[in-house]
Amino acid sequence: MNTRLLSTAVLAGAAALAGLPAAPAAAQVSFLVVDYDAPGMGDWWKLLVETHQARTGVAVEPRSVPARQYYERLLLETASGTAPDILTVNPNNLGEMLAAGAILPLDAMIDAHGLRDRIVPGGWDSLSVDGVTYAMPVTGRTLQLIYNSCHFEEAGIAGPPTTPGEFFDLAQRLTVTEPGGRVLRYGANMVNANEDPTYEMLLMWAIANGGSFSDGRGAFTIDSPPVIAGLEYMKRLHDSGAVAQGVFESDLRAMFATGGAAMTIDGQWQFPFIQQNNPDNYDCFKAARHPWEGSATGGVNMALAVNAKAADPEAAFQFLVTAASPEMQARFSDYSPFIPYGVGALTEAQLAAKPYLAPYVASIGTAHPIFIPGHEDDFNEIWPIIVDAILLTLRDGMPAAESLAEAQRLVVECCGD
Amino acid sequence: MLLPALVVLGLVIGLPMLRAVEMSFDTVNLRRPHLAGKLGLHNYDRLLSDPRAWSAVALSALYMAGTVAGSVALALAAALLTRRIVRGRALARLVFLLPWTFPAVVTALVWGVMYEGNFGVINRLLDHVPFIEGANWLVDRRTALGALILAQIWNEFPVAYVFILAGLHAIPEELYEAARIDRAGPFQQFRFITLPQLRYILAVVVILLMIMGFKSFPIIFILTGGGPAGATETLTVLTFTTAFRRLDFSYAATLGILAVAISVLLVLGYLRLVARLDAGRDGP
Amino acid sequence: MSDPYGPLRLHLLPFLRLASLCLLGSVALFPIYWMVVIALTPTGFSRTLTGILPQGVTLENFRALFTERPMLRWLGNSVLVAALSSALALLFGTSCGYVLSRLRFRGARLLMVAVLITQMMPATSIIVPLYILFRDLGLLDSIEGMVVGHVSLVVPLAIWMSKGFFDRIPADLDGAARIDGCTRLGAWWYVALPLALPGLAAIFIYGFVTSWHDFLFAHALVHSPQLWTAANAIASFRGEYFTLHEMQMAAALVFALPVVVMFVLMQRWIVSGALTGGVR
Repeated sequence: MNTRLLSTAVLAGAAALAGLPAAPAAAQVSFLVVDYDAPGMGDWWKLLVETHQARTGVAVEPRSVPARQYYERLLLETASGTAPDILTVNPNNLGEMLAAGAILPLDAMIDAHGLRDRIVPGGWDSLSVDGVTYAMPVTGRTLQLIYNSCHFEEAGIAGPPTTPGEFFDLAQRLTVTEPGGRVLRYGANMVNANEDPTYEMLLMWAIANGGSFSDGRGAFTIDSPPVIAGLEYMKRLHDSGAVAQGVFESDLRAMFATGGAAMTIDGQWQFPFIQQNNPDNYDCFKAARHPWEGSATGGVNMALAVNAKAADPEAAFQFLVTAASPEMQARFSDYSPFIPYGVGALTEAQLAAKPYLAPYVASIGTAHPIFIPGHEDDFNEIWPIIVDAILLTLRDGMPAAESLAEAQRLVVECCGD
Repeated sequence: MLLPALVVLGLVIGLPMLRAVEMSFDTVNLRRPHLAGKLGLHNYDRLLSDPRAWSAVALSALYMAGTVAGSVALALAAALLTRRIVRGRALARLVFLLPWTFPAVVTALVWGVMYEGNFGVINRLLDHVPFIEGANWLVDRRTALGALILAQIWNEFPVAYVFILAGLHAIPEELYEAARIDRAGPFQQFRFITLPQLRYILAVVVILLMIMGFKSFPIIFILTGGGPAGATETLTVLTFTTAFRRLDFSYAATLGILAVAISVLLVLGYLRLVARLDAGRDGP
Repeated sequence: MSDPYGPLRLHLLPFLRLASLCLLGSVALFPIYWMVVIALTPTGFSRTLTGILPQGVTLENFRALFTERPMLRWLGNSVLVAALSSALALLFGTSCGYVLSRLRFRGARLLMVAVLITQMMPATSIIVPLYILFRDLGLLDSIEGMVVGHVSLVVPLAIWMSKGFFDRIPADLDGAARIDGCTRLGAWWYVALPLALPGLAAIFIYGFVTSWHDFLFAHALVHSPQLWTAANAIASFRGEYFTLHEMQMAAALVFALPVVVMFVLMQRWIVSGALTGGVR
């Protein structure tokens, strides 16, 4: 075994790969894909791989990774230089991949293949840093209100809430408790566990109060009045007993889908899950616009990028061209519960078949990204700090202004300019 | 004959460990790739003044102490109780081995469901028990670490059980017969025969559980992820977040070396203990 | 007999014993009972159970396991990897332990500690070098890679335990064999190993369970679902958006069966085996 320093080893699995003689025309490209075998989205990926092979004769080797392990695998493969030619990335980790020098700028190829206009306006924005585009959006999502209309009828409530105040009041009215005091059904879901969705909850309520985590120039505003007001709102909801405490997001979803909560603010993936697992009550579930003025949170969810060390970047990019083709985009919604980014991808018929998509489609164009603009490569450092602040206020009763001031200090310290 | 084992160990664990040592003197941070090759002791400097790392060490030690003490106590009680059973012995023993058949991932998930504050079955059962209040076990910082320790004990006490049960069976029955003739009660028998005879095996069990407890990761990571607000952030959790969230693989390696250093101290302490016991074996 | 503890031993003590046995037993079994309850509940509904009995019992989760997932393949992989790696760890570990038991040489103690040190590093700290190493050796995403990895997890304990077993076997015995013309290897194989057989069973079982539970190598170094073993397969029910608790618990119970069968078969050996090794 050689004794070269690990750093050299890490950075150059790189050298090893780059040193390979570049094949003139790749007969095969590899593709890091999330949950390739899952029904729904996985079926579209499979169709894409087949279509691409038929179209170009280039075989695609899908390397499936379970969603829960995706990010660690991406890092591990990047760090050891074994990452495949085509990567699935997310705006939240794009900056990190970019800082690691792991992905290629795509603008020249995007223009050469005329892809720029095949993606809906704004679609490229969250995947561009300093005007350079590094990935092509494929799936999108926002968080919208989903409610159980049967619970609403039962409580004599006419329609879904449209303001934070109404959301709060209805959450109280819809909560059902047993004689012993234990909750039988929560009025609403609000993630407040030690995981990143909790960060997005605060971002939502900060937006609802007219703020965000940074100002227009990218300076942090974690301790600004709108964010404090957002956290105070979360605290009131938390203490009112109308939301479950400390339950992980995935468990909250199961609870909501099976009637354990009356409202949630969540993605459209709830619907296929309910359809499959609670079919008797499926008709109860309805989607509506998020209950505040201003944008929803979300945007691009999965995007495709080209590995900076790809042996044949052009061949890898061809796969993106296939993915953006009208043919593939037209079939997207037949499989996937996400919002497609191709122009005209959602047909009237597809929308009619999935009426719940309407508020999601309406909000995706203006959605506020989850990462903090200007701090793209620090998302995974920032969210734990903010989640700690949220939990300190919710659990230990620390005043929101105080915990957020501390978060602001830590965030500036780790990731300020 | 030494070779196959040492080659496999050296290659699969030893070599990556050496590279981790190299890495700890370097700057391998995916977010700052340009810093690679900046060699020095900076990671160790940082470690010395990193309160988070030392609080993680303290939590790891607490976690380890809790799981070792709990597992040994539970295993000892179970082993003493199933030692002389005549009917249904195999079944009784299987009961105490069963928790070992489930990986840590499963342990974490089922205890997570049971601990949940409102629907969780533990609180539902406690509703019927007077004087004991339920809690939101994993959410409350006062109970979170204890709740994790309990789940871990449930999962790993069978390891101790197997060894202790075996140790009990190695105690010559004549010793107890002699004690009965001397009219020693059950507690005296335990104090003067069972415990001294078990000392060696208990020491073995303790060191095994120490290493398991100090390195423990999945149960903590899945159930609390180190939260609430750092209340259960042990050294392994901190190592994980340093590598896979802050992408600082060099500092993660440094934390790993700290874990090894502390574990080595524990094992050397253990070896001295065993040596002392061995030396004292022929004494009164 | 004038045993002052007679009445106590005859009546109260057995009762107390039985009561504590039942109490401890139910503490050990309750989480498993709860797994069964969850596994029998329709997908999604286990988070809102309010009693201690399953509501709306279904076997659908078990059916789906075997029809929608390659359970048999995963079970087969797990058995193959666990059996191979524990057998190899046994072979490597006991030969090493034998030498350490029979030959006194400088640094033997250091070697024993060094062997233990390999188990102390948190996996996260070595995962990147490990990944690079496995890539260079062509062991990524392969059964062989997992076996090699699991051997390295079990060998240290096998060395420590088997040294204990061999220490108990009088050196005269294999010394005699060597006078009869056996090599050291022969003495180990024909004399020492058979005498330590019960102890070997204990090591095998420890290795089997360790491999069965391993998440590090299975999770980080194996990607293809057709190569997954128990821990990977069970973890896979925890998805990005939903955790399929009910199917996951069903899978956990199914994956526990081979281990239980092994416990039942080897129970006698676990006990008598650890006995000879532990107490010198």
